[in-house]
Amino acid sequence: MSIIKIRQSQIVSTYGPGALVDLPDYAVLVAGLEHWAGDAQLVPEPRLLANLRRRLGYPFLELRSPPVPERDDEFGIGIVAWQFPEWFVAQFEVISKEYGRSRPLAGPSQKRDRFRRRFAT
Amino acid sequence: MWRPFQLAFVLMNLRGIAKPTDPEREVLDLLFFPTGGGKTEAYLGLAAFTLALRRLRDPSVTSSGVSVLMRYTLRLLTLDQLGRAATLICALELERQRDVGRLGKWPFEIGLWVGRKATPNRMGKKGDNDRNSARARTIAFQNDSKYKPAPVPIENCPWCGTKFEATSFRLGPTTDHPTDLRITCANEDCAFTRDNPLPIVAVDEPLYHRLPCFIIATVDKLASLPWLSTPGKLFGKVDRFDSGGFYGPGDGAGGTKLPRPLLPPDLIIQDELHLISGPLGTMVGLYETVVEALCRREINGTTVLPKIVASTATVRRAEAQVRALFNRSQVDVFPPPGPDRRDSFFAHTVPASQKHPRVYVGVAAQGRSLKVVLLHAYLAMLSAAKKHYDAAGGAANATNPADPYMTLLGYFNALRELGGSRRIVEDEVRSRLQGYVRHRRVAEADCPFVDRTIQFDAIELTSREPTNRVAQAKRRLALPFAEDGRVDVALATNMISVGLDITRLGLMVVLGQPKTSAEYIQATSRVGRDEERPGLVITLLNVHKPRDRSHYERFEAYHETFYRAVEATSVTPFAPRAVDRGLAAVVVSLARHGEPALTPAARAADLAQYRSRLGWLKTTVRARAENHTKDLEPAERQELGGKMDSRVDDLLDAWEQIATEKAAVQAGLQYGPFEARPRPPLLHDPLDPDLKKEPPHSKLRKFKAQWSLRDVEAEVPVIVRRLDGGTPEGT
Repeated sequence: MSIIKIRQSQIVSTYGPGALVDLPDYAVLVAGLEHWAGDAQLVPEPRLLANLRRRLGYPFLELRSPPVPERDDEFGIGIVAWQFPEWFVAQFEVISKEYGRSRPLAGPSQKRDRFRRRFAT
Repeated sequence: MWRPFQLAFVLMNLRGIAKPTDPEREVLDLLFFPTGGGKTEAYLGLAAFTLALRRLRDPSVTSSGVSVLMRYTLRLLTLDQLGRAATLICALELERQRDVGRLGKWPFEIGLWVGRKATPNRMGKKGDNDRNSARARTIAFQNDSKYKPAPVPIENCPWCGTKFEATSFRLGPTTDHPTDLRITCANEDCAFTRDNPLPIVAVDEPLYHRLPCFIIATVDKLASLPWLSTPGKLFGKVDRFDSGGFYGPGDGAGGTKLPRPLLPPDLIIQDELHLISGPLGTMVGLYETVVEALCRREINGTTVLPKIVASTATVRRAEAQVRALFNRSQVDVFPPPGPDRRDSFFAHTVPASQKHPRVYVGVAAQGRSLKVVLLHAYLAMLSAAKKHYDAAGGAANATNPADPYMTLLGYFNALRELGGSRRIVEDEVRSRLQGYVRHRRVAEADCPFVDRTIQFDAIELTSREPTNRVAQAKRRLALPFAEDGRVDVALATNMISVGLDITRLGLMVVLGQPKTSAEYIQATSRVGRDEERPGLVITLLNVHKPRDRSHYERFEAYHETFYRAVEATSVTPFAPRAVDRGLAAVVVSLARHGEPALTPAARAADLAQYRSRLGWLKTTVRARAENHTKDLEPAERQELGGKMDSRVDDLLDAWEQIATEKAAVQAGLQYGPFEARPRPPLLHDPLDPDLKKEPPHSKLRKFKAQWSLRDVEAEVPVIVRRLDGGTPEGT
């Protein structure tokens, strides 16, 4: 499986924490900052920082950029994202006495070819 | 079969090719022809002439080397062109094998000089753990040819059309330490089977060694010029040879001395010129300084440059663009515009009353989101197509007139929009289509729709798909709907807006007005390429966005004359920020490849010794800057030239000082960080973390060079987790 990468500026704008990122085979939800792994570099913007600290009232506020690995073979550095959703409604109907007509749920353990797992936006 | 304009184009250029000192050599011939007209054949014809002429004039080894350089911007395009160009080279090679005396002993070969996403750039060796090397990819393919991609993105033999098999790819001389990847055809009756491999060189390492006469490249490859010694060899900078290939000043010992250096390329073909514009064009224009300098030679006191031909179907202000890119002042548009724009002798515009035109339909819905409009448009198109397909005999009718409309090509302006729509297609469109007829209107006697079952997966033609999957998708799109592997829905981004040439496609749905008219024209020209079966383009517009609304309101007037709306492009290679970004790479490339003594990796330390020989470097950059546009006043021209002079001097001074500093601690200096034994590098990638550790006024900060001509930004890996601790499945 190839490594998924997102450009730094997109993480700040489009794909911040909580954003749904649509990948070719599944979708993920970007995790909060506490899950991000690796050394996030400080952004040297003293004037902006001073202004923000004053306005927001957080004297220890820091600006950091999303973590980037220094070498290509450095693994485990980056932002964490959770696969979401994991459960899907199958594209066929099952009729049972108990529930009447329903569409079964397909979870992560089911065979891929039987349950085509996509979610509708 | 040749068309008159193709023959005319070849004939017109013969003089510039055959007589290098002729003034016509400097003219840039721009082939301006509607898409689907056969431009590629026109310049392949010219390339064949160029290649054969060089050999006929000198059948010895000194006429080998790169003769034709064909450049593109996108990988999709490059692969498509590779097939056609490879067939030409196969034909030339067979001719040569029949008459070695006249056409020389060195084979005609075609090289693929593109990024490592499309072809492996390194051969690799046993135990190097490089999954992208040609060795690793070939072995993976040989073990599992069904699911693993072929190491080279060509699926069929370009000569006989037989599909390649696992045995078609061979590593040589040994599998553990290969230096070459040979491709042979699996068909026993093909001319290129067993001991006569196909003349295709697709891996960078053997390409730099063998120097195929015809090279297909992406413009991004120019970015490797300052980093490596080997690309200079493509411009004839070699001094030794043996039966396997050529050695330049940057290569180790080997080979016997060439009687004289090889000639630089004779012909440069730039396809889809309109794409070399904006930020990309600006960087290309700057790097072109190096290409021009490396291709320059003298014949009896006259400076000879390669012939350049370019092509496009949508361009405006071509002269200014060409001047900034290639430093050529004269552009001849072919066919020349006549008194009647509908008749240039070579091309006639046929009135819509005689031949089926491409039909554009605009759809917009008040109060509905564009996704709902998309859903209903897809449902209606897919279902109505099936109705007509069935009425015309369905799969049993081999020439079913409704066949082009059974495959819906969806076009999107952004990957994000495409992703969301893919879910709609795979869930809602699919399930609703199965019972679509149930929703017919009350008292509607003749329903225009039927139920239809479409495949689960929509295929994608986007940048996030690997090249081999794109190649496969293209092959499937060309299949008639009656065959296995057919496609119901294909979703694409602007990757297809150039060079996708599948005659069969007839139906496109565009989501939202594309940002430029040039892109809109290019993209929608992908359908309706068969004159018997007209194309249908449905543009879905969002009436709540002023821009889309305006297009909707002026739909007819706009479409009647949309070639007029093509935007002028801008190329500004000597704008201050462009110079900041690219000049260091250009100066280092010029010095490195222009002066053989500085070519080897470690010779970066010797600048001081050879600086006196680099006087031409300053004049080259200055002349280029002064000529890059006609809009400068003489005083401004002077000022820009002076600025360039001082920038170049400053860079060379800084380089010299770095070399002296490193020599003082006996560290040596090399160009890039990876090329040779570890010494401190002169050049750094703008994102290199080592550069951040340098003090703010370090001279090394002046030597930033990119590996790509596009925008660069650090990318953050996404670590995907699941709540239950498993790993997500995916392909």
